[in-house]
Amino acid sequence: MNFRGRTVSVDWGHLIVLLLIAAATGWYLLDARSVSTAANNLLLIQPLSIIALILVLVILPQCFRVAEQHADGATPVHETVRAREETKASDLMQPKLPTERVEVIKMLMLAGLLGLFVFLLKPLGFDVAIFLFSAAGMAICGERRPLPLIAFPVIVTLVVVMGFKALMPYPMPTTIL
Amino acid sequence: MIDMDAFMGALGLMATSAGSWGWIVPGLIIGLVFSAIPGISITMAMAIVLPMSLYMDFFSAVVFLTSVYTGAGFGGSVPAILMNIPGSPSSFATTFDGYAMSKKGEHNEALGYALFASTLCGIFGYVLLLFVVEPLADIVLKIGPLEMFAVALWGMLLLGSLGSTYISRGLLAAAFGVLLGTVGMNTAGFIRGTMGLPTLLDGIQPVPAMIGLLAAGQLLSLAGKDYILEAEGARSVSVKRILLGCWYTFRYPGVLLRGSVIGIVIGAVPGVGSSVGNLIAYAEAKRTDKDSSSFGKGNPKGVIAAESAVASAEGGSMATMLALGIPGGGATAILLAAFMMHNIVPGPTFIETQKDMVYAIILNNIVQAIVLLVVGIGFIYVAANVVRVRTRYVLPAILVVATMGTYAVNGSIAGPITFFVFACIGFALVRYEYPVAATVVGLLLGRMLETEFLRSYQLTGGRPAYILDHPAAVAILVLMMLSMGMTAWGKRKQARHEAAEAEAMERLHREELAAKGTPHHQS
Repeated sequence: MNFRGRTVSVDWGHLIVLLLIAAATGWYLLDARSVSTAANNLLLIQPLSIIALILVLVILPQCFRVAEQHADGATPVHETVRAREETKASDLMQPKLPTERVEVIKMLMLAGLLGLFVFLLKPLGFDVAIFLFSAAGMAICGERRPLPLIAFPVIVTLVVVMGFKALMPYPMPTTIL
Repeated sequence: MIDMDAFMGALGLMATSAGSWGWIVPGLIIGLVFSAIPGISITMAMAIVLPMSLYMDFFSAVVFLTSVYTGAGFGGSVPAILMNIPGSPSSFATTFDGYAMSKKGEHNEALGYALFASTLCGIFGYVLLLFVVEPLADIVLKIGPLEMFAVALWGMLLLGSLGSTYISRGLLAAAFGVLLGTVGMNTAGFIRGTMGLPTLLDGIQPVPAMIGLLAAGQLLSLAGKDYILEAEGARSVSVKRILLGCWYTFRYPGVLLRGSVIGIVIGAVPGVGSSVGNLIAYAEAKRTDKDSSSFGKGNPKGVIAAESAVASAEGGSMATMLALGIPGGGATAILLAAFMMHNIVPGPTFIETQKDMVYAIILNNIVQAIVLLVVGIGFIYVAANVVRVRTRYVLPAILVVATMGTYAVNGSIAGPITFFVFACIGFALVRYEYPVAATVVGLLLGRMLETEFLRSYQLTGGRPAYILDHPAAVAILVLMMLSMGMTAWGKRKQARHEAAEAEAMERLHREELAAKGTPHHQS
């Protein structure tokens, strides 16, 4: 992206997450204000929401990075900076996160699958849903051999359904088991 | 220091609740296995088993969860020593000298050092807690809602500012968590942010939300990684030499003591946690040692320093959690949730009224540390196989168990849905380096913060000058400001320090490879 003649690299993912946090905070503040503007209601929420929104503004510039483009094809400065920051980030306080596109797609697919799984638990029955989720999850993580793709989910389903039926006092709708 | 009546009561409690003893070994094994699997941390292991503890009585639940905690502290060190793979972030510093000792053929001794340092310092942390818990509660009892609010606020600020590389992101994560924690009806009867959903009236269900944030968020980010660890010529394990290593640990009382003190302090301060504690203890041991150049080349002191800090941090973090009811990080946040699920609010009143229970919890943890010695040796034999379990099997299975666990909390599909929503939030937060633990603690404490704030407001009639009558609150607020400033300053220094440490290790490793002149296949 070009801005005032400089190339700016944008961390779109971070930007979206940040804007979502801001939107949620803003909506929450408005919702709370619409209920009542009494101090007993807004005492903590209003100042804290405002602080959170200010923090969003402080973090916002971190989503953008100015990239100095060199004509002679030398390594742009920001890349070495980023490489150094990456070694710093590998202090294992947070698990190291992969950045390759394929891996990100895998993660998003797994997250989507988890969402489907959660909403289909009741309609499909817990047993069927668990079987399908584990099989599809394994496939996303890279398993291609048909035998493990069937055998392992069957084991997971049996162990989990039996185990939780024994443990929980609540009913668990199942289709086959 | 120790209330003898309550102490006797605690012994009686432990003798009569025989069922709770049975949970020590399973808890330790779960902790050991989970934390040995690369990518799964202490907190994740505890989050996944949290719903199971719902179906136990209170004492058993705490015994079970703290056993997982104790086991997980050591579990990561076994692959760290044998294969140079830290099973969990808290055993990162153990790889430096542990693996170097392995290469010299001293892996048995290294395991012995690690195990015994874990046991001794785990016990040390809790013995200290046994003595300070009562005086601590006496102090805490004297403070009113205003001071409590100030302390909770301080805890949140520390968590936010210390838990991440960026202070601003940490504070936002904490603020966002507190806001999420206030959703629903507050003590004054106002209903906010429920989007008309009746399940949200009581607020966001903390257990599914926590499991989503702490476990699933990080699990999802493992999807792209399929660890294939080459088997590295099986090393023979000899119990005799491990025990010899245990015995040699006594030669380094100074290292043990310093590591423990660092661990306890770091455990007690919200936000730092054992994943940093081991690095600091290691760096400190190296800095103060006469022969600091031998570190990283197989000096047992490095292993002992790292392990002692991890093990003793548990006692330190329990002190903050029990006395103030404020969790210092992910692991104690889970314990707090377990307390809440059994309708028990930790804090000075809990210590006053149930002192024998508190002592029983502490004594049981000392027992756990001793049992770890036996279970840990057994675990060494299977650890190499555990590490090689592939992500593609672990990931779907754990996600299923976690989802079902959130359903088991109250048998409603709202649990899994909350879990999914917070898994997505957790994933986004982890990905962009926001400290998830700060959000979790904010979520747990949000309601308490608002209630205490509201109570102080009602007591004072909204007069800000009232705070001047409370020197303690003023002192806490001043301390808070000071510590924030120090954090900002110290953070730069520490980050540089740690980077230098990691770089030095990397260089050493490369030099050795070059000296061998053979390409090295591993991981």
